[in-house]
Formats: sequence, C-alpha cells, structure tokens
Amino acid sequence: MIKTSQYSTFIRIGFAALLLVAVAGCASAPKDPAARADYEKDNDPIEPFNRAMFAFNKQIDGMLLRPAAVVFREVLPEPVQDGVHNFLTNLRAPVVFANDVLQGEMDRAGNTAGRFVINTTVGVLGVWDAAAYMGIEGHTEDFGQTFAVWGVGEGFYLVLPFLGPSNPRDAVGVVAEFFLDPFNIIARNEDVEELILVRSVLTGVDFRARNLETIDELERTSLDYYVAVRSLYRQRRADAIRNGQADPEQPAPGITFQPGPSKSPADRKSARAE
Amino acid sequence: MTSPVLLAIALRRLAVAIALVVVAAPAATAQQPATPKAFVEEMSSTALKQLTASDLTDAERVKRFRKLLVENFDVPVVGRFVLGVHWRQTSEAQFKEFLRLYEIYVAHNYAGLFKKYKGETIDILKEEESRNGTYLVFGRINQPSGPPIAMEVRVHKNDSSFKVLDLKIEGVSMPLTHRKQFASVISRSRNGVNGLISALRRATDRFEAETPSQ
Repeated sequence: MIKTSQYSTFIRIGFAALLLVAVAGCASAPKDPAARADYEKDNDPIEPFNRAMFAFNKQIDGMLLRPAAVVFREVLPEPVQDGVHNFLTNLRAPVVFANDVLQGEMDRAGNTAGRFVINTTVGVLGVWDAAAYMGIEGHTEDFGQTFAVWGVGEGFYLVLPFLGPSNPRDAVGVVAEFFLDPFNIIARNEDVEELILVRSVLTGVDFRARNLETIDELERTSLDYYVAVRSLYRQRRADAIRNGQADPEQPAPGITFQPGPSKSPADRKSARAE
Repeated sequence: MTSPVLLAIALRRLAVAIALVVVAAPAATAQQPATPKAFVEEMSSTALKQLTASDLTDAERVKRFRKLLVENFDVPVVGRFVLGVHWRQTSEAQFKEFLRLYEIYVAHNYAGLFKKYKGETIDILKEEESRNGTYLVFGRINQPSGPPIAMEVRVHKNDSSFKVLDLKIEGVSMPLTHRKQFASVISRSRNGVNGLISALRRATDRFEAETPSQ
C-alpha cells in the first residue's frame, strides 16, 4: 500500500494545480475562422496552466534531471549505460505484453514474451538485449495506447508535473500502469516501495541521457519550445498508436489546401493591381 | 540589319539550338531518377556523402545542407504549408523573405544531425502512390547500436523532377512541427507575419553567430 503521506502529497499537488487553472483561466480563441480551426485542432484549452507547468518542469529539468543525465553519460562507460537501459526496458516487458494482448496484437505479444524470456535468461536479467542481437527487435506499448485502440479520444493537451506532456487519456493510462505493473505490485507486497521511486527516477535519467543533445537542440532551435514539444508529443503518440503505419488523414504540404482562392502571393498581387 | 542572309543564319542557329535541345533532352531526363524511390535513394546517399565528412566546418555543413534543401525540396510549397492560414495574408515580398530565412533556419536545425554521424546507413524500402499525385517513400535509418529509425518522405513531380514535400522521422513531420510553432509566434505577435519574419531573423542571426566557420 502507498503511505498516507504520499497520498496527501498527491492531493496537495492536485489542489495546487486546480487552483492554478482557476487563476490562469482559459486561453482565448482567435477570431479569424481559419485560425480558429487550427486553434481547435491544437486542443489546448488550458494553455496558460500548461505553459506554467511546462516552465516548472523545465526548472526541474535544469536543476536536477539534466545534470543527473550529464553525470550518467560522463561517469558510466557506454556499455554500462546500455545495460541500464536494457535492464529498465526488460523490466517493463510485462506491461508491454499485457497491452499487446489487450489490443489484440497477438504477433506483437508473442514477440514481447519471447524477448522477455530470452533477455531475462540469456541476457542476464535483461542487461544484455540478446533478443535484438538475434534479430528480434522490441517495441513499447502502454495503457494510453490501448485506450486509443479501444476508441477513447485523447482529450485536451495536459502537461503533468514531473511527467511532462500528456492528456487525460494517457494520464489515466499512467495511473493504471502504476497500479497494475507487476513490478509495483511485488514491490508493494514485499514492502520495498522505495524501489518504485528509484526505478522511476532511473527511467527518467536514462531517457534524458539518451536524448541529451536532441532535447537541448530542440530547445535551442525552437521559436516556441512549448508548442514544439506539444506538436512532437501529439505526433509521436499518434504514430505509436498506429504502430508506425502511415496516417492518410494527417495534413502535409502538397495535399492540404487552405480555404479560399488557391493562388500564390505573386498571383494575388497582380490580381489586386488590376 | 535584317537582311535575308542574317535572317537565314539566325534561323539556322535556331534550328541547331532546337535540334540540340531535342537530342540532349532524353539524355538529360535519363540522368533524373525515374521513380520516387530512386530519387529518395539518390538524395539520401548524396546527403550522407556531402554532410558527414569529419573535416567539414559547421558553417560549410550548413551551407551544403541549404543547397541540398533547395535542390531536393519543393521549398515554396513547403513554405506555404508551414505558413498555414496566414499564407493568405502574406505579400509576395514577405513570402520571398520568409522562404529565404526558413531555408537558413531549417539548415541550422538539421545540419547538426550529420555532425554526429556514427556510421548510420539508410535503406529505402518501398514507394506507394498517395493523394493529389504525391508519393510516399518509406525508409529506415540503421544505427550502429539501437533500433532502426523509421523514415517517411512525401514527394511529387515538379517540372519533370521529383521534389520532397514532407519528411517524417519516427512519425514526426518536420513541416508540421514548424507550422504549429510559427502559427503560435504569429498569433502572439502584434505584427502578424512580419512578427514571424523578425523572429526567424533573430533566430538565424543567432545561429550564424554561434556557428564557427573554422
């Protein structure tokens, strides 16, 4: 069981978040109809709150996560870093397997189960990705993706403290995973709940270390870092839910046409001159 | 001046020129990649060859990236998509300046990826027809360690040669991400598209200043 003090912390954070929403109010929608259509597609009605949470997470990243990731990268030799990553990935295999099954993806479920058996044994508790060496590449799944496959919409964009970009559907998925992950259940039963936190922190540091330059570079080059991350999160999630299949509905240059006359700026200029 | 003799010479020159064009044309088109897949294959290998040399300065890499971008991408169509609804309020002069800055912006954004080259290879797997006369070409970036990275390129034929419209890595589209960001910059600015142009100018000036030419 979770300690009561942990519960009250959660409640306090939740209350503070609600208060922030109330104070910050809602984002104002643009008046131009076309711009409004884009705004609605962004589906970010609590943008002021989300931006505040994003700024908070950026502070945490700058003070704790990024420095830890830099140390992780500089202190540990590359094979050890890979070992940590492989170990953490293998630890999540039961959750991936459950979601493969819940989505009816039996081939992928078999792949996940096979990898788990091989890597836990031949790969020494998952430290070595022996299955990938044998040509069996892995994939990830989570409850948010399963809900999506079942037809649940993502809802509005939501930035969670510490966890970052999300939405109500994926947030519920995170909570479901917290309670249903066999690792967490065992840790709670054996009264070693600290391991849950240790694993979460390690997963965060591993993720940040593996994406150190990519994330730094994204922040450096973005005109609006918040919007860049929001767009990346949406696109990555949509791709993960489709398991990498092409999306015929997504707008793209050359196939998306704006309402109104389809003329180049040069054409319009001469038309105006007439 | 227009004596019949000169006219005859001019006509003969014109005839020779036409003959040259007609004869040369099939040879020229033969050099163009015949399929979207072949085009993306050629573009990928050229990019790897030109951008991954370790003795390249950062400034030279950016310069080469921009040249490859202009040669292989349909930059005006991409630019129009990236401006989204705001494209209609963009004048010819603004659009021209926007495209110039956007090219530099993209080059600085992505040239750095090739600096960290560790022996990745690119496999182009298949092509398929898509909407509005465009094609999707699917590829895979193989990393020396770690899982392969999915790549999806949308191309169309423009003036007898293929041009890239969209590039997706692991499901993330480069122009779509820019479109969202730029829309936000424009809506937060008092000066509309001009606000975006000045933001791009500030960013590219900063990138240029940060990029050593040695």
